Amino acid sequence: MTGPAPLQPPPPPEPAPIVLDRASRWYGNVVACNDISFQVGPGVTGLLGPNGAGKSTVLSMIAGLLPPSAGRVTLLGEPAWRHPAVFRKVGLVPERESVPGWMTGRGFVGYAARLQGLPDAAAARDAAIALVDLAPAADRRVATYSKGMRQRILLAAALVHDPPVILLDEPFNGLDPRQRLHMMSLLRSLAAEGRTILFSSHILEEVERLAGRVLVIYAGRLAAAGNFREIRRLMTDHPHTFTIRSSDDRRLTAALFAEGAILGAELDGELLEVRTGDLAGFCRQLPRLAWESAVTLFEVRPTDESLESVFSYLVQR
Amino acid sequence: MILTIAGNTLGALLSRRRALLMAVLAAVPALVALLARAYGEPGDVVQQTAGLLEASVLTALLPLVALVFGTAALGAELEDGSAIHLLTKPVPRWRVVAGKALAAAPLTGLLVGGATLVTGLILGGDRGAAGLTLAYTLAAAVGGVVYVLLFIALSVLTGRALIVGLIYVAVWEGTLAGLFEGTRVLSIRQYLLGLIAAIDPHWVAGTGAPLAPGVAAAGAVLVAAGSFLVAVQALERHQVSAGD
Repeated sequence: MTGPAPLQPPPPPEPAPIVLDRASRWYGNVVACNDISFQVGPGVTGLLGPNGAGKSTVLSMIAGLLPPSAGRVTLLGEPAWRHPAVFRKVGLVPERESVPGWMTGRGFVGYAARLQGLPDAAAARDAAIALVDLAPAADRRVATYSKGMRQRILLAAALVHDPPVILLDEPFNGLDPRQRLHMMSLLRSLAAEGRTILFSSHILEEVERLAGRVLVIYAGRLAAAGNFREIRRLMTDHPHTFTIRSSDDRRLTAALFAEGAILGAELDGELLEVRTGDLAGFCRQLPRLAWESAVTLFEVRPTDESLESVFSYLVQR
Repeated sequence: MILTIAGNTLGALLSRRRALLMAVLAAVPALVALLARAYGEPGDVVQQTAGLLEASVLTALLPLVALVFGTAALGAELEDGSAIHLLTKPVPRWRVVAGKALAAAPLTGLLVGGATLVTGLILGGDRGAAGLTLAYTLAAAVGGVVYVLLFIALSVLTGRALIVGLIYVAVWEGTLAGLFEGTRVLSIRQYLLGLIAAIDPHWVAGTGAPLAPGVAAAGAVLVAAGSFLVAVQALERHQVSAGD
């Protein structure tokens, strides 16, 4: 007679494919990344930030091309620095084009396939080229490619060994709208197969259209992380400043205050500057209040709508 | 894997204008030999051939060609960022260095060895200098390997490998090794001359006693192996950024 089966402890939770734990990276006195912690799991994650924010440094640390100066970076459970074997499971599309111009597209992707030690490198090469829709131009020298074609051949080389983790640094740079849509659709379908995809971008709309999860990097710090809608709400809700020129600034200011549409106002000569904490409400109320107060609006201009100011706000939050 | 890297590197080295320039440069000793054969003074042909090969091939052509191909094989890729495609593959770094050397060293050996053979045969091939020519050709092939490994290591260590290499060839080997005998033990050219002198001392035209064969062979092996190890270590520590 056998007793009840002993209780098995639950399996330990799988670590996320990409983990940064208080990772910092500095070059001499310049801090490129400061105390960044996040985890990236399967699906598409966007690394959003303005140029020079430290996105490439973060991706380079993840890919093992740069060691962190402090903290820990692991890729598929292991530190990637000085561990080239990890590239069997990772594909990287760098921001620099830097594809040797003398090679053909097919030669370049085939070279990547052979370096991966694939058993049927030629078949993998042709499949990857077909995946990025570049078969007709594959036998041309890369020197004759457009920027978009170079991006796609880089992606083909990164996908040739069918990696579970794909890192892309500004992959949409130089792509025309049709190529952009094609690349987005391709990345979505790759993510749907269970891959972990992390791409960097400085363009909010790109990240919005593709990434389910967003990491916002600004000035080397992780400003925000989470669902795109949450980040978007934070970005929309930060105080906005507008300059307004109208036929009667004083009457318009009074009406805006009375309605609670603005937090503050400054009148400097012929220029009215107002501050609001509710962008959507302000945009709805301003034309209505101007109409009701019989004030003509000549100009309404946002003063701090750059992505930089939004990122700066997120960091200071 | 090493052959894949070597083949790609060979394509890269031959695709640039510098390969043509090196081929033109390699033809210069043969042209000098033709002129010497046509208008030269009568004398000891073996000494004349040794003098020409030592001065034009071992002193100038070999280190120069090795410097250009050795620093371009890996250094050029590190410089322009295209090395990222190689460094993001599951390839141990020693294989990368071996592949690069396997392209640059035979290319150097073939070009300089060929130039040596043609030059020596034109000047004295039918007048008793065939053996000497063969010895210099082999020395050029061996020297190609040692120089190329040294310059590959330099190109991983510094972005100014071409200048540092030129200083080594011109100042250290060209000037100091002639002035101070002690510095000869750290000169690849002296290793090669020592190996040639081991076959026949009269085949070396330069001043000063050549290095003992054992010292020359050990020196060549040590520099080649040491350079290889240094290049591998430096490449393992090499840091690149995915972006601009």
